[in-house]
Amino acid sequence: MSVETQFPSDEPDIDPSMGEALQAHKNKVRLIHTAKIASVWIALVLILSIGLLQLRFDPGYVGEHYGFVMQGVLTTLGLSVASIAIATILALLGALGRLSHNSIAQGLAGFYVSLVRGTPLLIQIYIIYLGLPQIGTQLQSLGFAHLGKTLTLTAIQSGILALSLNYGAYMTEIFRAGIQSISHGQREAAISLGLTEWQTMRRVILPQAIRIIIPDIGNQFIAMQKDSALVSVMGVWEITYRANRFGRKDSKFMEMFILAAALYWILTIVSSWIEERLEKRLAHAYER
Amino acid sequence: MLMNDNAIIHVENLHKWFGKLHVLKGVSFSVSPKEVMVLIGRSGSGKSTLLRCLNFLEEPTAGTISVAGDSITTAPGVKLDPKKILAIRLKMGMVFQEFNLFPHMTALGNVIEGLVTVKKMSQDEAIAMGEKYLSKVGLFEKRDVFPIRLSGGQKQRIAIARSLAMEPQVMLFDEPTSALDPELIGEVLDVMKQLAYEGTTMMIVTHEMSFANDVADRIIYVDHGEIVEQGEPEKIFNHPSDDRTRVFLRTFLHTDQSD
Amino acid sequence: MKKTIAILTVLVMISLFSTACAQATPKPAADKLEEILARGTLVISTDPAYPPQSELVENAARASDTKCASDQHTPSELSGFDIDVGIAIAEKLGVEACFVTPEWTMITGGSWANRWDISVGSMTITPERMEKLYFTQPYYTTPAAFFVSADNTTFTQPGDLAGKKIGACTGCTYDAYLAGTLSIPGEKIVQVVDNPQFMGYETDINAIQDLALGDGLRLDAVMTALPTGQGAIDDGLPLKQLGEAIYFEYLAVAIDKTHTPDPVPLVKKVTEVLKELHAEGVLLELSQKYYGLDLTTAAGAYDIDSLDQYP
Repeated sequence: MSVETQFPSDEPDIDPSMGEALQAHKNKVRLIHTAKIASVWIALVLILSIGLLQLRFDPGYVGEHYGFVMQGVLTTLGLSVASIAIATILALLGALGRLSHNSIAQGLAGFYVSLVRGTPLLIQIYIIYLGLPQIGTQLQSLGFAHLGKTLTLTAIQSGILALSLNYGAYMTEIFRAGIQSISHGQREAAISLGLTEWQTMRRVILPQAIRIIIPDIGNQFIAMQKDSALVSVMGVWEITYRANRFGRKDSKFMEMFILAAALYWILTIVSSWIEERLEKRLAHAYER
Repeated sequence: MLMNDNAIIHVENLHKWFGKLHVLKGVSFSVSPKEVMVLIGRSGSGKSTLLRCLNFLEEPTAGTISVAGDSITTAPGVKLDPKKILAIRLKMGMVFQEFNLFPHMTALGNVIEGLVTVKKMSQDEAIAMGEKYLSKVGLFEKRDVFPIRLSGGQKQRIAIARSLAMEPQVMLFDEPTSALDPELIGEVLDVMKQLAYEGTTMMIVTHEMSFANDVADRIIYVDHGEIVEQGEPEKIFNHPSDDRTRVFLRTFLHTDQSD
Repeated sequence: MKKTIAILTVLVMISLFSTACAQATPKPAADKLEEILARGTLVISTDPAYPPQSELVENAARASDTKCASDQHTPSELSGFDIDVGIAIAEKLGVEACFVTPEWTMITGGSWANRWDISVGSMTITPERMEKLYFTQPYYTTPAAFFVSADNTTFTQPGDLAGKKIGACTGCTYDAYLAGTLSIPGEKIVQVVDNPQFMGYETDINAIQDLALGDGLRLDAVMTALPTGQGAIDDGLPLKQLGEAIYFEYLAVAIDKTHTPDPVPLVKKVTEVLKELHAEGVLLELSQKYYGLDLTTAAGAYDIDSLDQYP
């Protein structure tokens, strides 16, 4: 009360109105900033388009035939979603193995990460698609008929397995870093309450680590959508395969590859957007 | 010394090495039921390590620790049985300098975590118990609040409730007010005084000398990994028999007042 | 969270193993041919990267009543010479044709893991491939021929090209022929040009374009596949063919030697079927349709038994 009387009497509401004006100004500045960024994007897309037309790029051809390549989007997405889900489980197991005090678990996880990160994804795909069945044939001749057949995965299954194994190894390190970033005090508090090591991991450490890890999983998912193009070598009709093989028909490679590139780009833009929202929601969790 | 047969904690010849560093050099003492024991000493003297060895947050290098009927004797190279360690941990509650509340659980969630996960209580039972201890530290109304929305003093009181809910036989406090802003220290000390008044057996590492003077049944002065002197507060604070205690108290109380 | 992970894991397991188990049911067949007849489908590999042999069909609908597995494609989804030949073989066997589309190197390398039964992929019979694959009676050929400038009047037969500059693709069979090192299983190679001056190109097309610049300007002649040269002439380039085809490369159906059960009866049966298709003129008709040329007659005359493939 005593503070208010210090203001001149003809401007009693100076505070609220000024607050609104400041807010409005701030919003306006932000809007202009966003508009400027958008216009830079539009300008760049225009320059790119003009450049493409100089390459004797035929937009009409894309207009007529985009549907065929688009049919591959679902395949690409399905492959990536299934693979990132399995990769996440593998990465969790891998990270727990690497952080474990058990020498066998540590050895297994370390070997897995080293082997998979040290070899090209394409070669892993070949080995899983063509190599595993040969092991299966050997097993079959040894009398394990069912096991032998099981090792002959379809192209899609092989692709999912290869992508999962590969990303699982990279994500193992992400998970490990995430788990290690949780302060030691959390573990101490949990075990002094009587929780076992496993309960501590499951109830206290992982739920916190996941929040740190999720943005990285999102990035891996984006990368995976593009790496999934490699499964085209097994004849899976995803985006790249369709673009490549269709482009040969009328020697319109450039058109089809640019269409494929655009589709991947759109997929990653949508994924990043979802990932950003998820990240924001996570950042505001636990703030009741 | 003050060894007695009905001691709730009995520690004998406890050694702790961190690599080449000898941090605890054969410490022995006992704590009686309902006794409030305060450990004082310079930072790095080994008093926190001593507390942390009691519930095996640090594994002692050698010695015997007995808590209310459970006893573990260790020596270099001995592999300890996790079940025995768990049994001892469950008899002690631990309160940390940094609170260490679980940020992804509400205040109530923090308090009932041990009840549900360790004691396998039903959700309803655990909640009733949790609410009781939240009320005890005066924070029932923060039941559904996440730690990020709590002040340091409130966090520490929740952490105390979390340990109390496990109904341990001894409470260990490791510098419970050192991370708090000065104006928040009082509310935590009040809770601890209340516990002392109710007859809770406590071991407290602290630099709050006037609080120690108020609540302690016994003060232990630790220096260089050894118990230098122990006795009632009146004796330690006013008539310390050892020169090292005297020097510590003089410099400590002096700097304390000049803050 | 826990539940989602559990559900995902289960779903993945099911998807991984369901197909594998579904395949594991039928009673064991004595050989590959019997297995195919019992199954009712012939799984054919093709890489639709090479029109007009094999290409994708836009807006194709998958046949609804098909016996082809979900990861195989029905004939309606592909088109081309190889595809039509594959369909004709399946018809003769009385089964449905299904197609898979792995990369070419996966097909030529053998060890197909029984993923597909045969390759109808315009595969040239070579000694290297014969180590991994059985070949049937060829269904058509790639004749090799010399092309010279349309303006040229001095060359009347291939023998006239002795010592002249002849362009061809580097590392391909024409390169080997001009170097005198070519050998084709079942074919007698006659060296008709003495001391040719080989000019290497990355592809045949580059050589043809250089020849089209003018007679003797950069090249005196080009050696290439007859359909390729004919195609260039059809496109209006000033070239002409010099003499008859010099030799033939034979393109046949290939079957993995590591197939289980025994693939040999299948190889013999497909050979029989192709001989019938030659005799009935079906293959010649397809050759005329896709190439406007007779590329099949020489293939029908090929003596497959001379390869002595079986153990």
